[in-house]
Amino acid sequence: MAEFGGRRLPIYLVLDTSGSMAGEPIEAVRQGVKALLSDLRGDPQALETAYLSVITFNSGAQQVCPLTELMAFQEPTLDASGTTALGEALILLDQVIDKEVRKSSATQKGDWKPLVFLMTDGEPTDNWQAPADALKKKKIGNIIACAAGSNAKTDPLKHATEIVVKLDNLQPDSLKKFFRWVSDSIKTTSASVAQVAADAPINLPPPPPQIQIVP
Amino acid sequence: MADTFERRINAIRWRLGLPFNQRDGVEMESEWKLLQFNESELEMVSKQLSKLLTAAAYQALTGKIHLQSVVQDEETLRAIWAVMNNVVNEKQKQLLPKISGLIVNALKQQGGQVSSSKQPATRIPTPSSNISNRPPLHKPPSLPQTQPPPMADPPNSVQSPTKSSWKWLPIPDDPDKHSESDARLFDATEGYRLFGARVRGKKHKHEGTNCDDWFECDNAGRWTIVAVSDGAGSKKFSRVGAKTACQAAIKILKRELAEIVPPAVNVAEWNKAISSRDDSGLFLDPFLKAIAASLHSAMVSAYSAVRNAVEERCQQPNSELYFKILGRPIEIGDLSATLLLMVHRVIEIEGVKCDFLMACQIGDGMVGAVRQNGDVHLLGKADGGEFSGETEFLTSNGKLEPNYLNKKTFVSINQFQAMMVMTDGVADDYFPNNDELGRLWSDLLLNRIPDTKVSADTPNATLPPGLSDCDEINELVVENLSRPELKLRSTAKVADLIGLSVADAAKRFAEVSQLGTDELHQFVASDNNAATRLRVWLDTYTVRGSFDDRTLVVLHREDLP
Repeated sequence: MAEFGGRRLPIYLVLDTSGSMAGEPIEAVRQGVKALLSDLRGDPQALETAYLSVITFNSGAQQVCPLTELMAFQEPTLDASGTTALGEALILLDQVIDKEVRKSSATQKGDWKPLVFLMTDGEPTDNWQAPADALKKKKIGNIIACAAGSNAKTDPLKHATEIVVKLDNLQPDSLKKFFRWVSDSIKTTSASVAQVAADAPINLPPPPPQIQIVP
Repeated sequence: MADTFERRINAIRWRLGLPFNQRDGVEMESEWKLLQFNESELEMVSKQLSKLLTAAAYQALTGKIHLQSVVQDEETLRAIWAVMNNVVNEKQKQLLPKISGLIVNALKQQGGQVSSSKQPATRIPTPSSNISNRPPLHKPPSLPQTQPPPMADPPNSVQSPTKSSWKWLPIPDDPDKHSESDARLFDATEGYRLFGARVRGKKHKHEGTNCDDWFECDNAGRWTIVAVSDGAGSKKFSRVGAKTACQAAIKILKRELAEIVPPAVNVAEWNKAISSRDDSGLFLDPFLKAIAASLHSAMVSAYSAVRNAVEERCQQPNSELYFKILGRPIEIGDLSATLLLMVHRVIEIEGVKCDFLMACQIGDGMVGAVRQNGDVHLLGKADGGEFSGETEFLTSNGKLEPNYLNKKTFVSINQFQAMMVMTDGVADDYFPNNDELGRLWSDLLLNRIPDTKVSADTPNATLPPGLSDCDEINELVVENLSRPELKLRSTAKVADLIGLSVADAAKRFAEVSQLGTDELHQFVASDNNAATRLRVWLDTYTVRGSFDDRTLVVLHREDLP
């Protein structure tokens, strides 16, 4: 298929695949990504402009899916083990966005501002502070961070972004709702991308009861 | 045919199976063997050859010539290409594989003997089964201005390969309800035509919201004035801002320009005037300064008008209506919109009539002019941030400062064929504008949108014979999800099919427009004019990722190629 030269909506999923996610939680995340994909594929606007990428992190961070258009996107295999290198994930996120997201120029149509959904279930085990602060300052896009379950800490996430939500637990149903909300947020964003004033706050749909916004 | 150049071209025609001149006592085989071209002929020959090759490809595709009579085997085919390769220039060289691919494939289809083809097979547009028994074009009603049919099987949801379904929801009965679309003809200076159209984009149709674009035009003596505006997508009443701004701006310009008469000076003085600005961008020449001042007054007046529009809506009892919708009192930000203003006048410089254009814009969209040779002059520089969608508005801070407006004011004097003002919905589909606005004009010509004064017997020596008639050209459509029965044509596809680069094809208005189609004329038959044709075109052409409202105003010379 010829490369789409128009404006894309880059979406990055940054997912915690540490040991504590093993079993039901990681399975629920797999299902969630699948559902997200299916949902987005049914939305005509998302279909034309949304591009998806997945970064996973545990003892290290890796981009398991480069930025790909919805129709060509292949779900990644997700396995859970290891620690929680949030700092590395944030550094990698910065790097891939630099590499993959197109900036507006006289000859190039820039992409829409990237949307990042980050989910973690525990405390970061590496040097996260500097990368988090740097990322927030850089304003690479709209980052929505989710602290899932009782062991997750919101403070590190708050360093990286203003928009932090808490997910009650890692039950399949809660994760399902989370991914549903991610999908709705994407659709809302792809619908309102036209002419957003530079620093206007992102317009997110109301979250379900399982998700609380952390002030 | 005494001229040896002609004789040699004749030999190539013979070899390709095209009609040729058989002279008594002349052995075509020997003519062919004598084939050689010198340096000075190369330019001419390469042009001839590309035409002949294209013609051959087409004739073969349409079965008008039997390819087996042209080349019996790959050896011969390669011999022809070898000759061609020696004489065509670099650009043409890129096209040869494509055309040869077409011929090879046509051969295969006809059961011809071709051993392995070295050239990659090129996609051939296969005539779809219903081309020849296509039902006669009925006259559907012209584009609905009122409620379109609600959700059930919206006309827009068609077999896109990805099975996405765009909905077409009606505009709600909220306050300030605007029409789906608009199409208007305007009076223009003698020898010119002026028309404009706007349509609700796919996104707004899908969400069931208003079209946020607006345009207005008027004349003041010999001046033509155009205003185009695009309301901010995220602002609920931006359409009110767009309409109010356009109407107010036009009023001011009409009043102020009527008094301003261009000076009778020569080329050198005009050049000096255009390039003399102080550090803030202010024109030093009094005439230019006056026009710019009117444009800026118009901007200021547009802003005031928008402010008044907000105040009106803050009065009882309206205010409650708006409060209910917004959850808070209405404010000027809710009417955010861009504004593009262009003024035109014919001026005479040393006895020659020229187009004088000045434009000023806040926000995105573009003002551009196209010359007969395909050159594009842009009269704008869109605001934009690092990411898409970061534009400025009439209602944003600081946009009315002279320092800002001066830098957003552009002038151009030349002889233009077409001058266009458009919102981002169109500008973005022809990006980068300085390269692509010629293609936009070419697309309008290809779909016979502007009213032209073409003389019926304009010779068409430059295109292969039979090209316009062959069925395959009806496949030159852009992917059309809105109205699958409506076949539009695009310069990009024509270029591909006749073996030119898109950039080249986009400059050859006279040639390419010979391949135009009357589809739009027939479609809007009950109300057929340039504006209604433009409206259907804007509403129909499809570009991936392009779902914004589309507005385009065109001012062009009557005497078009």
